Amino acid sequence: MAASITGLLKPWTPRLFLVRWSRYNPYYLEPEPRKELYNMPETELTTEQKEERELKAVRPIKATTNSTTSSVFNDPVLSKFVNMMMRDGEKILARGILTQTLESLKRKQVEKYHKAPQGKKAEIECNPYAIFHQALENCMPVIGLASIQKGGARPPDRQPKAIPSHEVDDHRVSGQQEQTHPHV
Amino acid sequence: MGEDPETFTQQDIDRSIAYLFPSGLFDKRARPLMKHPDEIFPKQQAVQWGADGRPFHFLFYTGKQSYYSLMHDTVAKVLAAEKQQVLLLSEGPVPQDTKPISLVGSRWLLKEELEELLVETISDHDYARFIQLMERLLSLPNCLSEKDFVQRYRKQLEIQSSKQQVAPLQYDENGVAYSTADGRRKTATCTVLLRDCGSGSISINGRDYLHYFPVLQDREQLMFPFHFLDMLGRFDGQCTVGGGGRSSQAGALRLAISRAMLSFLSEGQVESMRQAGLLTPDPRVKERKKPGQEGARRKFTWKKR
Repeated sequence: MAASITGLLKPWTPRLFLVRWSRYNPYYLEPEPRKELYNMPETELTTEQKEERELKAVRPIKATTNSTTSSVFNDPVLSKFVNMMMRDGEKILARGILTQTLESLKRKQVEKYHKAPQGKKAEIECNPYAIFHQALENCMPVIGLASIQKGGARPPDRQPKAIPSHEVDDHRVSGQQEQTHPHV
Repeated sequence: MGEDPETFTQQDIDRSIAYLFPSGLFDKRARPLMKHPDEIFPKQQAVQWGADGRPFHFLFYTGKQSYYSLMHDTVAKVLAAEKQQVLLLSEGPVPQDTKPISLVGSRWLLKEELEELLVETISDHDYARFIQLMERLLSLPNCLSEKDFVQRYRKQLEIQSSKQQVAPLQYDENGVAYSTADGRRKTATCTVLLRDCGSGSISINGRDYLHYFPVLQDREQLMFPFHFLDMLGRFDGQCTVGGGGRSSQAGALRLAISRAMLSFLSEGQVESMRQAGLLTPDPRVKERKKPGQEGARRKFTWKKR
């Protein structure tokens, strides 16, 4: 570790070029663009949030990416989805497709809403963002796998077993331990 | 120099000093640059044995007496804290009032700094053991009494927001406040002039921002600093931008706008802007192509034979 901290604050290239490295020194923290969190008075913060604030006061912060804003319409999940849809760096096209999809979702739902009888109107979800998040949650896997390194020259066998969540116990399956990741 | 040494008066001396040392002999900047005395006379350990040859410290024969005595004291404190904890537990389960020592604004002394403090050379292994022992001391619940001891081996980190240079506000002929700032992102550079008491109109290279940035994402980036501080319709912006692509120009403008707004803000707002990531110049640039590969990361097609 360098004797002076000023060396850590410049654009940084690692001594050993690893496969995944970033221009930021690992000392930098992630930015927080939502503005409501900065207006909270001292009394409403939990101890962890206070500690986090104190830590942020002494550490440098990375720059926010070009696709993030403090707007209410900015959704990190949607931005990630747009990036995954994007090909050859065409963000405009990917974002346009997503916006059109959300718009057509809204149109269809509003049509359904107007055609539905009075009793059923409250059940129809017209908010396309809510539909998107619910759809994503429906697609999320129930169990995740974490491989555990054991002291052996042979790499462990990876055979995931789809055990339903209520039956999961700490089984050891040929060197691999399965853990439930309850989707939050 | 053409002067006659026989008839050299005090006035001539003053004149020549004013010529040779234009800033004068007593200017702060004319003072000779000398090294810190610690660099010229490094700290050395005093003689550690008496006239009879017997060493003063009981750990002299370990070779690193200050380090081992420090470890010895720390272990004594750990044992005392554990003993106290056992006593408290035997009296009955006591609720945890003692808050642990706050470690957030400080860091452990580096190996070089510890060596300086102990006036001894220690190995990496020794340093690691020392840090391990201090962490163990801090993990015990009754360590509040050893706060001063621990703080001696921790260095306070300076608050980052104090490093932010905020230019003072300037006023034009009509008394309207304005400020200028520069911004850069990848190869795009820009300058921004923000005027107060405006209507939220931004002109870039003479054109309206709606014409210059047809893409929504870029306009969102322009709005970001204003929206973050709830000052959307307050300022008028005059920007010039060049180089780079549309996204990097938008990023450069965002940085320049955030910097220009600093003069209008309080310290708390400056700190929130910094934590939102608006004031850090983005260091990401295009990675160079390497020889033996097709691009920065892409390798040539692997051929089996």
